[in-house]
Amino acid sequence: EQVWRNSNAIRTIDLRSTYTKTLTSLIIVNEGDEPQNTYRYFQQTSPGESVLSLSVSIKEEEKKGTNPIKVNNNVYDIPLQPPVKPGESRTLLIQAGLDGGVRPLPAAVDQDEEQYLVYLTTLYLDSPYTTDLQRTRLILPSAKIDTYTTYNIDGAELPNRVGNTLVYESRETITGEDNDLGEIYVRYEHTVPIPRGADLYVQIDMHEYRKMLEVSERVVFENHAAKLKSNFDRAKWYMGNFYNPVSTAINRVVYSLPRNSKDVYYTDEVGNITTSHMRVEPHQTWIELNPRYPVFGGWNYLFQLDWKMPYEEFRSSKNRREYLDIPLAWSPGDMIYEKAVWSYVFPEGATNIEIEMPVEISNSNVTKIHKFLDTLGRQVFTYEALNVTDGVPSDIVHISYEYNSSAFFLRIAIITTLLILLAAAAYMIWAP
Amino acid sequence: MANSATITSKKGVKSHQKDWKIPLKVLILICIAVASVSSRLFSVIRYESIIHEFDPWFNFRASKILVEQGFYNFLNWFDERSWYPLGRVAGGTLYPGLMVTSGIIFKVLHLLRINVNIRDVCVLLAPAFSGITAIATYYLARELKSDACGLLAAAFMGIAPGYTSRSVAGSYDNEAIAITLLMSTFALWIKAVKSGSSFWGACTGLLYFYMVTAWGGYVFITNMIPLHVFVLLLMGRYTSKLYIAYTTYYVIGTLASMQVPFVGFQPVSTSEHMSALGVFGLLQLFAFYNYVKGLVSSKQFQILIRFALVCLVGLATVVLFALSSTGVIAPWTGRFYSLWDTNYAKIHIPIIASVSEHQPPTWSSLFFDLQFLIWLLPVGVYLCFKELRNEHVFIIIYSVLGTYFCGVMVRLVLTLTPCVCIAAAVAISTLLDTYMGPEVEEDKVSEEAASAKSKNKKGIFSILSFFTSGSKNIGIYSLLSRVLVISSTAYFLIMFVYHSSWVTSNAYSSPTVVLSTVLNDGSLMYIDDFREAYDWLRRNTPYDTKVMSWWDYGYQIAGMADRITLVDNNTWNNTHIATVGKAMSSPEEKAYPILRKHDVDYILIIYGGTLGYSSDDMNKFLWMIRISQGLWPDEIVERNFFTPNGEYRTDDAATPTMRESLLYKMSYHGAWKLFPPNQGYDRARNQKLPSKDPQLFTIEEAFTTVHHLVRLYKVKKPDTLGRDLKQVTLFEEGKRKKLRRPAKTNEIPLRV
Repeated sequence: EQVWRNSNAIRTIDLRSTYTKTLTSLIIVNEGDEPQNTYRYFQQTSPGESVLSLSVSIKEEEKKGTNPIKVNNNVYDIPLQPPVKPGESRTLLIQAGLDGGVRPLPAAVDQDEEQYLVYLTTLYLDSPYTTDLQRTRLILPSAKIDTYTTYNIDGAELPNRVGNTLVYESRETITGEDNDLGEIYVRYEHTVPIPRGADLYVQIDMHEYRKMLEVSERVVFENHAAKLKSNFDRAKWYMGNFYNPVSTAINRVVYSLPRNSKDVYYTDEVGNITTSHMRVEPHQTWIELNPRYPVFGGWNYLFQLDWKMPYEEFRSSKNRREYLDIPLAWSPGDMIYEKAVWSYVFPEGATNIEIEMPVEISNSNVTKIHKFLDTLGRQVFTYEALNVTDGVPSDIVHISYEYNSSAFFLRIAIITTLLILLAAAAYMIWAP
Repeated sequence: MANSATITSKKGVKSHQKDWKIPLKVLILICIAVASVSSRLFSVIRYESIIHEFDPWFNFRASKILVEQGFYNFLNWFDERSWYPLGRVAGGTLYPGLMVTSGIIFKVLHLLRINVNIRDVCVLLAPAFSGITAIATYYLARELKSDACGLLAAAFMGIAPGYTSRSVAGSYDNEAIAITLLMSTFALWIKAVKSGSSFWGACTGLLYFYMVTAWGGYVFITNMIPLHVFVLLLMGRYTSKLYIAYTTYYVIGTLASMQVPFVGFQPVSTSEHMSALGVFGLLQLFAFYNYVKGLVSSKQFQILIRFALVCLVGLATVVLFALSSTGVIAPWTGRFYSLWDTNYAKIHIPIIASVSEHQPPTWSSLFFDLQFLIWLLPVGVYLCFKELRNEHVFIIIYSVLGTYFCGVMVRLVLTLTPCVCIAAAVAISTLLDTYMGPEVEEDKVSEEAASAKSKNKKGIFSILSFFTSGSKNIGIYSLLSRVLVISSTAYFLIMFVYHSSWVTSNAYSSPTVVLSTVLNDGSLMYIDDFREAYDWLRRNTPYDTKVMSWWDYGYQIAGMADRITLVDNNTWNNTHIATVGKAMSSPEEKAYPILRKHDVDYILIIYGGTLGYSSDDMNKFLWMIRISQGLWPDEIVERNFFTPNGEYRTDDAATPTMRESLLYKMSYHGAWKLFPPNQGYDRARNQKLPSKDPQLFTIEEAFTTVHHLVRLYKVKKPDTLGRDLKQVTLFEEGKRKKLRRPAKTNEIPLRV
């Protein structure tokens, strides 16, 4: 049913990241006879590409964000409240994270060769409604573009190229029934690693008495760049680091920890890793982690970083209630984590715990553990999420709880009792 | 520490005899234990809490199995990931005492909610038990002389390098707890002999059982205690106390030791255990002899003795012959032969001689491990001869046996060290007693002097009486003599402490897994190539990857990389090891079928030429050749690997056999790239690199670590067209324009 018309559509595909980011700006007009409260949206994907995340904001509405309803793969219904009256228009901003569309071509390169990536998309917007004006922009990592599709429509040469950006602009009216959407193929040079987080595990221990947060992050990442065509040559790698340090291998991971972080451990499954550097600055601490070996395409790596942070950096207190605002993770952003787990271990005596997670949670549970000299036990809140993307370091977890210090005094009493018993036993053994 | 302990002990005994004696001794022993533990933590502080060397990695892996899967799964553990394709009956071929001890400690700590890692329990087990060893040594040594002597022995034992070498943090091997059990068993045995109590005899037996579960060196106890009893019998010191002590110990200990799966019926079937059984029987004869002696008259007893002796000798001969011929009594093992004939292993069993700690020690290594204690050993033994109670006889026997076996195998300095510490403590304690003690006697001597003076003798007798008068200016009574001797002794003790700490820190605290060197600016650089390679294997190869390497690295590959190995440090199958050695020693076309038959995916070698690491595979190559030559003498000939001059050359002067061998090719492939042209150098063997880079056909380089130390090669799959892999490589290089008919050695005929 043709009730909507896309009067203007601008689609921006950003290929500079480790995964594809698209921003679609739509001006939609209700051409029906009745008010409409739903707009059907097709998220375009390349062959093999999948949607990781999708968020919609509407410019005219007071509450900007809205939650699209997933109808099918790549098909979403966007609710519009209040309904749009006939003849009125709305501006939709749709952001999506896509994965799997970019692939290296050739699939294998030598360790000192350039890497070329290819991406496929369509020239026209895929929509069940008619589109009047539209523009497709591809933003590439650099201006080194090897190949891209060109069109000659009515004497106009497409695309218009500005540096690292390709703009395909069309004034042709495309109806919803048109099947030929055109094809855009682009091949560009991008000799960098494409890290992918296979697993992320974050555990945060809160210590009320010591005023300390103990953080442990374990990351398993893979490199989805081009594989090695021939064997890994250590001598070539060693000399290449001096002459031409550009490579598809992951050789550096940079962490930015808060100030006053201490007791930093960098380990993996076989023990301590000695290839790292730590630099303390007034407002933060930089840790440059080097993997044990250069992680080329197809290889993977696991590491764990542990450190301690003072409580006061994140904490506030109000009405007998403690509030903590902790970053979701400190691991490098701009990466997809296929699976992420967060564990929050609360101090003994914490009650009425509330946690707001900024990501979509797929699984969660609460357990209780005991540590040395614990009596009541500590609550552990565990959350799982899939395909976590974008802005992981900047998202904040809001934690609040009430703390009853009687548990701490009970521990003091236990320690004192044990010491008294020991002293009495020693006296009874030796005094007579 | 040792000197202050002695002085403090003396003062404490004198000034606070009743109230402070026991607490003060407890405090001193605690200080000794703390010193023992802390002197073994250099590697943890300098590097990290990590398992060291090679054998401990298997013990750590077994401990994880025990903790994660339970005791019975641990005992029934069949390790299909080692000794591929055979596997290994791991649970039945190991001494479970070490792992069970760690498992129990782990469970107790977790019961207390101290959530330690099993690795930390394993790493710190040896230091913890070294403190207990010091206390056990105290209980043994104080029986010889005094409590002060015991404390001295404990202090020596705690820090002596001969013991710290096998008990630093991270050396998670059987010796970690075995020396503790050795000293505890001996201390309990001495107590059992002195008291004649079956309770202490039973305790000795149970602790002997614990020792049997922990270490194959329990055979030392199995032979030491019966030898002690035998010597006492020869000295005519049979008592019912001795009978009760040994009988209780032997019965309980032997029956208990048979419960260990690895031991089974060895106590009644192997020759190493026959002396204990023989002394047990002899003791029954002695008891019967004494019993009958009290019943019959002297004449009848003489006749009875002769008749009994003839019957016993005849019966023993027949039984021994029958048992030996039917194979019930097993012959001595090759390792046992090498203890008596030092050339036996080199000729017959090269796998044993190839282990560096199975070589005789040099004299300097004894001083290195024991410092001035080694000179005090004969002094202490002499002082034991002076008193010669039963416990002194034990130490004398221990010193003779320990000295001999230590002279044969350098590793057995470990068993000699406790004896040396005790004997040295006896010597030092006697010396200090002599020069600090005789103030009471001075009064008597003064009285004698007074009485001598009253006789009013003249001439030469007056001079003689002056020397024998016990004046304060003569001999040990002189203050100058005392200060001189005591300060010298204190200096020697301080130097001993310094030497022990230095040796432990510099020579015995290296994990071997991580190396370190000092850069030009004085900073420390870690060489972590082993873990780099193991981590790469772990992360980037399939779980069922088979890795071939020399057996030195088998436990580490299984423990750190968690990959299937063909051979490892258990060395229980000589044929399998020889097969790997043959693959390494043969040319590629002969080695490739061996690799294919064993499903080898990767080959791991250690090449130390770039780094100057002398324990690499090229330096172990001769042992690979000798071991495989033992099984295939017509295929592998050691002589062909030496130049006509008899040199071991790896540069251009290397023989064709050497140059074509698989290990040589893998070691030197691509090594020239790190040097300027024509300046390649092998820093481990101080020879130039071969001018022509060895070319590989059947394998390809997969990964090489940052310092070129560990190299991994991937074994190629057979060509799908059935061609020889060498022809494939040459064809791809464009050296041949036509496709020739394949060589006859091809397994798959080419189809036209």
